[in-house]
Amino acid sequence: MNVPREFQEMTNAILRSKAGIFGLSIIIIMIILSTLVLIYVPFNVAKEWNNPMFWQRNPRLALPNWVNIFLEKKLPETIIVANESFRKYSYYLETAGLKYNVLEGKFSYEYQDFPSELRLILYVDAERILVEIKWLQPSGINVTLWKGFLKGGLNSIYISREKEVYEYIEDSLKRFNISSSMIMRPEIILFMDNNPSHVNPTPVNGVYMLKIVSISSNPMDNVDAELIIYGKVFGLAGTDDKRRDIFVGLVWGAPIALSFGLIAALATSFLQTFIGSLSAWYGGLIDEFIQRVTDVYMILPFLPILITISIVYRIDIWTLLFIVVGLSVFGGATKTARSMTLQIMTEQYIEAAISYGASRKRILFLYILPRLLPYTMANMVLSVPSYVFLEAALSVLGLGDPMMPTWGKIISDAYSGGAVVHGLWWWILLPSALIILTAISFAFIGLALDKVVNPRLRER
Amino acid sequence: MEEILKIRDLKLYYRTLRGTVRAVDSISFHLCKGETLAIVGESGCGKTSTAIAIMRLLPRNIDVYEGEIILNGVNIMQMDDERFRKEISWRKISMVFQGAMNSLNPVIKVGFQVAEPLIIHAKMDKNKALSKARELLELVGLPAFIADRYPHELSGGMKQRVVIAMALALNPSIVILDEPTSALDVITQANIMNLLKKLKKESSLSYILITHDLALSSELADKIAVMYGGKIVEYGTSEQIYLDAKHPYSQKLLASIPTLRTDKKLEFIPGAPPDLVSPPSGCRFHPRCPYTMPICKEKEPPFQNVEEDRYVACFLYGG
Amino acid sequence: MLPLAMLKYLGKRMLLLFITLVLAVYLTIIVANAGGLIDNILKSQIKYDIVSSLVRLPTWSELTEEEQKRIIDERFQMAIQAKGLDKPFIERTFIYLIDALTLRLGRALFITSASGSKNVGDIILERLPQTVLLFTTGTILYSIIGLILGLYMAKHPGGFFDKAFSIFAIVTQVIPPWFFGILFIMLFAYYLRLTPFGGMVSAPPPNNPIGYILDVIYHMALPLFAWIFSLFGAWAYIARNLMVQIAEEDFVIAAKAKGLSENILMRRYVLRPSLPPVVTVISLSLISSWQGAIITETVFNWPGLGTLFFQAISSLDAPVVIGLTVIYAYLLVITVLILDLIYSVLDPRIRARR
Repeated sequence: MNVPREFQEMTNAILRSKAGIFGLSIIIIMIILSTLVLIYVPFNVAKEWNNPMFWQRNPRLALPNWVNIFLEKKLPETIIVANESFRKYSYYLETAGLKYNVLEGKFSYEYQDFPSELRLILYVDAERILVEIKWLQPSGINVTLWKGFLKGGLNSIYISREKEVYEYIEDSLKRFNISSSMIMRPEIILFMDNNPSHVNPTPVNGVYMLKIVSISSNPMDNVDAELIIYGKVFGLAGTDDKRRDIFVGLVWGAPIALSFGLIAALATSFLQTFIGSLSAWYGGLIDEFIQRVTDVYMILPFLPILITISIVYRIDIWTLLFIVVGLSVFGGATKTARSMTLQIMTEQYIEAAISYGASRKRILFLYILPRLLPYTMANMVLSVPSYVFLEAALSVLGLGDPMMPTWGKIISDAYSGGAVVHGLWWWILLPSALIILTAISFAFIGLALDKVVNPRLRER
Repeated sequence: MEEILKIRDLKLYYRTLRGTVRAVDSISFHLCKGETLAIVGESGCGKTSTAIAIMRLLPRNIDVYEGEIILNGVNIMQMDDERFRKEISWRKISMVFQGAMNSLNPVIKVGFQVAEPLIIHAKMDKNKALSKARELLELVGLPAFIADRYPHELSGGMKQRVVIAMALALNPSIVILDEPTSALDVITQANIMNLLKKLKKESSLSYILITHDLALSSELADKIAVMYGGKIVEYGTSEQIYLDAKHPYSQKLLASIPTLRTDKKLEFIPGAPPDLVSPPSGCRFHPRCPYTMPICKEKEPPFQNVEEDRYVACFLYGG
Repeated sequence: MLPLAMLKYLGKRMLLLFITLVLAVYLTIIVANAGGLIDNILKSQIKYDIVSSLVRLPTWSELTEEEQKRIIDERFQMAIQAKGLDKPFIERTFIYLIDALTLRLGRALFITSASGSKNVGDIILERLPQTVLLFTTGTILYSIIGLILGLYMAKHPGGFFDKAFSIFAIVTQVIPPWFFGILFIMLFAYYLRLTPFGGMVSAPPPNNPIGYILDVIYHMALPLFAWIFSLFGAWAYIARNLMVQIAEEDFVIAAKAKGLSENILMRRYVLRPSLPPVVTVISLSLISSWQGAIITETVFNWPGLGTLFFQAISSLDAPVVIGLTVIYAYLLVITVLILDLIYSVLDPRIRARR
């Protein structure tokens, strides 16, 4: 059959051109990396993309950790003092009938820059309990963070954000004769040295301690704690405003983008070529009809209709794919395939095949369609990027699949999350770079294939 | 007779993927005023390339372009391109291309295209040029209103006449005609040939007629140069060639023309035209020549002056 | 006055375009109403109109609730019958089709025009000029730049610029304009602080006309640049290929023999004959351009049809979305029509008998 020869021609063309090799190697690297990382970042992590609780231990809008290579003042990573790391002890005050639970969490802070947020999670196993939280700096300065009653269950104290905490800190510092006359955030105050100038504060390195004392009358009452000192860098790609590890999104976005793009491109390309060829081969009314339908199709407002469909019905990404293909089935390639088929039809061996009685269907599939294969492949490769971008565009409009972390979704989240306005470059530029790289790779492979299909463009 | 064009050792080689094509490989001939020279030969023998070489319509992949082209005593080969364009192109030498169908710009009216050389070279104003163009169209036998038509509205014969009118616009000394009738039917062909004859008589034009049709050239030609494999193998008056061809190739060509009145055994020339990238050694015709001698394989026969104004390149006649 | 053949050609094209328009709008209606959406929207609009007009009657409050309800229902049924909304599905879709084609697009659910109207037609018309301003300017500019560059490259094929530019053309061809838009906003607005982040005018806008115009130009600069940057490359390359092909045609060589200067040769014998196929190619790319404009406008917050789309999507304002789709169908059809006209003027072969 003719097919293997066509394939060989095409692979040759790709390997012979510099652009083709570049494109092909990028795609292969991407596929390999995707498979490797898919093993290491299992799906159940990606599934939680829209679950905020899953990501809560990540810092918000953190930069990628390799940024620290280029910085003198290294940005901190997140430090978590887990429940198990707390030293727990308790003592009784017999006279008052009270049980004192003490939790002491120590951690060492060696960074040159302040953390982004501080958060204390307390699991209270009681109905109600009285709690006092103190913060001990390496210099010995002891600051009360909070005093009061906590209800049973999960209590989350955002040390960086709560006004009460801030007021407590101010009070404490006053007693040490440190005026915090400048309005500063708790995460800075708690870590900085107390030099009176307060200009360019740097954090004090050393061992810090968080002391939580809870008082209750019920000996069964218990308090567990977890202290999260959010850093400013995280992971290979940073985090977004919902604290999600962007790397997970990027990595899972790859196969989704690629499969969407490839399937859409494959389906449209093959269908268009097939229909165009059919039109020319059977001729007559079928030809006229298909031609007119194609003319109409090409002027349809594709995107607005797609938007209308998405508004009226909630669709997921695979239904979207199906509709996209349906709306593109009679496209530009139909006409080209038709004229190519018309040319092939005039060749002698087709006449010969007809004369020895081969059925029209057989000739079409065995002789004509394989000849169109290089064109179909080139067309397909060249249209993959536009489908990848189509998915991204729909995400930007807010119409994409809300569940899956695709590159388009990340970029659109970044855009609406103000990444551009606030210069959160990693959030926008990393997924953008990946999309662009993918698009260019396919474009280059398409370019190499084009030389096979369009010999006229070759240098004489 | 006054000699107006003298070609000496003209060479034109193209660079291609396969190698260097020696399309025109050192040819020499001359043309006198009022004379018609027919350059005759098979396809691919270098006839059109000769015209290209004279008109300096060089494509991008030229390898060698040298020799002497002496027009009215001036070696125009040595002119720079700009001067050539202003003084020689179309003014002294014009050309009627093969396939008039494609020689005309499809989106511009025919009259304007004929008038264009007048506007550009003779600096005529547009209206004057257009009315002169209409005169020219009538000269070639077309009604003046054709000037307002577009090329696709004309028949093949009409287009050919337009192209001839266009070639005459600036009253050139020489008109090169490259297969002027090959795409036309026989009747139109005859009409065009008659037109050319009439023009020749009336304005003492000198033609260089390039054709593969030996019979056709008999209508117009005073002198004939037979080309083969990029070289001129025979040169003489048409009488001499038709009645007494010396080169074996010329003889074979003549033998392959059917005659009307006598019964003739039609011959053909076995073999294929030579590959101009790597032509045969020695005489290029030797693989197909019935009279090959050992020396033909080794040395190229010189272009010898065997009689007055008669040249042959063949070892049969010495050399 | 116009040659008969040209009229025949244009007539055929207009028929095709009209059919396309009708089919596009009909398809939209079917899609939108498959779940009865348009029915519901219309019915609630009718009901709203009836109730609000009745409530204004001075005697309304004197009626009992049952009586009010009875009158409302009566009027409602009458209105439905009058509009034909009680007819079967297919007939209803045709009614909607006529409405849509005549641009009776109903009222928006949530969005209001700046003039306070809730009429979808008004809302859209208010935004239309901005879109046309930005994208027509951009399209004209990039077409011209592309043609000039294409011509230059056709003159020196295989040269260094030619090869380098082809890489640029490929890269910009696969990346849509809106994507460049996002990147450029980051670069020029955030990092370089050269341009605004989006919008059409500053807040508050200058109140003298010249200042206003300058302000608009200032805001238009970056979207225009992103649009042109993204599209001129591929376009120049297509033009270049077309012209290189034409430059190898016989009539160009014949013209060169006529001793015409390089300039005239290029202009009259290469550029001019390549305009018809150039227009055909532009026609196709313009259609996808108009649609890409939707996202580009959204990214730049340019107050045109695209941003309106985005707003309508975010607020689930279906009448506006449907109305916009109809308008886009019109836009595309009109664009193709204009280009067909231009084509018939440029290519004399159309004007005479085929």
